[in-house]
Order: sequence, then structure tokens, then C-alpha cells
Amino acid sequence: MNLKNHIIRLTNICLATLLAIFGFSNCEDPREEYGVPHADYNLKGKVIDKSDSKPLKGIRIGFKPYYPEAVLMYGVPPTAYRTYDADTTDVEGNYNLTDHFSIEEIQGDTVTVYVQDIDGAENGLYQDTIMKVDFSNAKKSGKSTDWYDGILTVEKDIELKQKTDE
Amino acid sequence: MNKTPTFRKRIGLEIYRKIRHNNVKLHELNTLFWECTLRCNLSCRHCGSDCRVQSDKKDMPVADFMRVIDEITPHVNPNKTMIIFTGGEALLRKDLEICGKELYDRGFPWGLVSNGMALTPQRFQSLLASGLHSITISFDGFEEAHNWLRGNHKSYANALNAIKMLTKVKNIVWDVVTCVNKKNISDLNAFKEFLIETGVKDWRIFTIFPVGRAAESPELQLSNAEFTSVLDFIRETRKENRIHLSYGCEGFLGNYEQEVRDHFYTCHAGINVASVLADGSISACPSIRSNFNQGNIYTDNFWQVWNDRFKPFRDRNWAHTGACADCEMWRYCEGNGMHLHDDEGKLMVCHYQRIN
Repeated sequence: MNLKNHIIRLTNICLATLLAIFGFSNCEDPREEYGVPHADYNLKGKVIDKSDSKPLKGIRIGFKPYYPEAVLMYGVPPTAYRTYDADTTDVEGNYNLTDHFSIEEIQGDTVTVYVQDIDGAENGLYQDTIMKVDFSNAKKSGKSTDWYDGILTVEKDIELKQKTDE
Repeated sequence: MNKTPTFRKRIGLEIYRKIRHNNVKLHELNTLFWECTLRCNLSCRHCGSDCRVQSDKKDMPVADFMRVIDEITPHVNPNKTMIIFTGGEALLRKDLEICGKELYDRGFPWGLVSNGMALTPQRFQSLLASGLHSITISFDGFEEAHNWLRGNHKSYANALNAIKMLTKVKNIVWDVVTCVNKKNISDLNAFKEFLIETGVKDWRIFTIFPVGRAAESPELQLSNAEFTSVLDFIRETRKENRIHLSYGCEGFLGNYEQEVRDHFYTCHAGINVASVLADGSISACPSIRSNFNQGNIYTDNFWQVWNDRFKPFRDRNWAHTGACADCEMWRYCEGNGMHLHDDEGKLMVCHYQRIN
């Protein structure tokens, strides 16, 4: 990939972020009109307090379609056309998500995840966040482990900051 | 709904315009159609391919198309370059599985568009075994309307059987596409409920453009009020969130942008989409007929043509004339889809002007 093309792509990513800020779906990659390959994406792990590694209960985690991080900070997020898997951590902080994505719903090998403290002050107050999870080295399993099918699994522990940490 | 884009939408359109212009500079191929046959087992009233039950054009050998695939392979990410078999009716090729397996072995995802007539359970299984993971079935309303459009009294039943087969398979991406016309427009709501009940999750609606056989049949054309009502129907259905419905890829739709599709309008022909037609012609989307061919696989290297030609697709200023000359939406539309221009380059349909 030459430098000029690289710069153009980066520019488009910034413009796509701007689009999302205004609440629009990004069309940087055209929607595949006739169906696309897909796989199951499994993300699991624990949510813990960044300061003391204590497991956190009552944290909501869910997959998001391919929208940049800024979208939840600035305005009404674009309306997703389907619901995506979400989970709430148990008393040991465990979560487990699995969803079925087509190539247009993810950005390369990266899946976007939102993390929200939904139980108020009951278990402490923690900052919501959006993060990208890299699936390029995911563990492959299932009947088929080819690129177009199967299950990709990433285990990831998520650290959250308390709101009083600011 | 007022068709003039709101201020907020204008901002989005301006931003997207820049994205599009950058995409033109990159012109990264991500979809390649192969018109693998002109033979068809139907005689649809609206067919732009103008296909025949017995086409006199022999099917292109798989090896010839695979040579094109080998030409593009060093330059694309195969995993992200979708190959789509179209026609005619692609399923009439008995060697589709051979081509599909070749593509699968090279890492290219592949799919097909079908009328469902020839999609028996056995054929479906052999296609799946060859790596098929995506399919679109044409389904144009209830039995009378569908059979009228498709010109065969068995076509509805076969298409419905194909759809029911797809609802039972877990690992395939599929959708239904409907051409809306005067015969089926009044049943859209009921048809929607039927599709949901049948298990369809993804549905696309097209309106028929006046090329090929469709140009000869006025019942296929909607009035402006009917066309607008279709957009309103799509918009309301999307809000229900019970089935994912979109308008097809063509046409700048003013304030309906982002309301009836998941993206702003753009014509990807020659920017991200190419096709190899039955006679080897290199074009963009298969809806575009011979007037915009850029070369031929039997005389040219496909990748060289993709990089060095396709100028009319990537610089649409030639279309900034006639009805488009003074249009304030030109900057977002750039003359509508390439397939909607006649042999002299004149625009045949303006979707924006059709909206009431």
C-alpha cells in the first residue's frame, strides 16, 4: 500500500468519525448487496476495577456495529438495524458475548464493544467506555476454522476506572 | 416527508461526498459480478439482461473467468472481495460448484442471485459444499403478482420453497429482493407480514428502471406518488425493526437518504464494483449494458483495465448536463446510477425528481 493511499484511507476514517458524530451510518465500505461471509465472534473475560483488580458485578457489555468511538459521546447514535448480543457481569465479574457478524459490520479484524455501569452506586460508580477488540489472533474453533466461518474467540479482561478517579 | 435534505443531512452529505471522492481515488475492487450465463428458465417481464430461455451465446468456460480471478488476486484481499454469479439464471450452469470451489480455495467469498426455480434441496447442498455462503432470491409479491412478473405459473412456488430452505440453514447469509410494480404495490404491507412469518430477516426493494424488456411494459412503472409511497413504506418498516428492509442501491433520494438505506447514496460502479459479462466484456455492475464496456477479458488484462480505464465511472462530469445541469443535488448524486444512462449518456430516470 503506498503512502498516498494510506493517507487517503486515514482521511476517510476521520471523515467517517465526523459522519458518526452527526448520527449517520458510514458508507466508507459499500454495503455488500448480495450477502457476505460471516463468522461467530465470541468475547469473554472479566471486568475488574483498575485500581485494585476487584471483579465488578452489574457491568453491561455489548457488541456495537462499526461506528467510531465518538458516537456515544456527542449525539444520538445511528439506529442499528438489529440488536447485538450483550451481557451483564455476574458477581465474579464474568461476561460472555457471542454474535454473528458479516464483513460489513466489523472494521477489518476489529470489533467494537461498549461497557456501561448500569447498576448505579450499588457496586461503585465506574466510567462507561467504548473499546475496540482485536480479533486478528483470535482462537478459531467450530466445525470449520476457515476464514469465512467458524467461531473466533478472544478472552479479554476489561479494566474500568472509578468515576471518582478523574 | 419533504424531499429537500435537512440542514443536518446536508452536513452528512457534504462529509460523505468527500469520502466518496477519496474512494474514487482509491478505487478498491471489492465486488466482482460474473454474468456466467445468459440462459434462463424464466422470461421475466422486466429483465434488463434481456435474457432468453435458449441463449445463442455459449457460456464462458470456468477457466476463462478463473484467469480473471488470478489476474486480480495479487492486488486485492481475496477474503474481502466478493464474487457474485449472476445471469440469466446462474443455477442453469451445472459447473457452478466447480467455479465456487475454485474461488473458495483461493479465499474468495462467493454468492449468487437466483429466481429459485432450480434450487432443489440437492442442488442447495452441493452449492453449500462448494463454499456458497450468500444468496439472493427474487420474490416479487404474492402468487399472482410474482408469476405475472416472472412469466411462469410455477415460479412463485419454487421461489418460496427456496426461501423456506434458506430459513432452515444456519450458516448462510441470504436475502429476498422484490421488484415493486403496479401489480404488487397494494399488497406490500401484507407481503411484509408474510415474509416475516416465513422467516425472512433481510429484504430489499427495487423499483424497475426502463431498460431491456422493462422498457416495453408500462405496468412495471410506478407513478411518482406510488414511488414516494414505497419510500414511505420502507421508512416506516425500518422503524418497526421486525425485518431489515432497504431500498436498492440506486438513486439519490434527498431527505430519504439514511431513512431507507443504511448508507448515503453512491453508485459504486467502476469504483468498487466490476463485472465480467457473458461475452467477456469488462464493465462495472451487470445492470449496465454494452454502452459502458471498458474492455474485454479476451483481449485485455482485467487488472490493467480496472486501474487504467473506467474514467466515465470515476469522473462523472460528462453527466452534468441535460436534466442534471442545473440540479442543486448534483454534488450528492453525480448523475444517478450509471445503468440509468442511455447509449448517448442521457439520464433516463431521476429518483429525486420522482419524489413527491
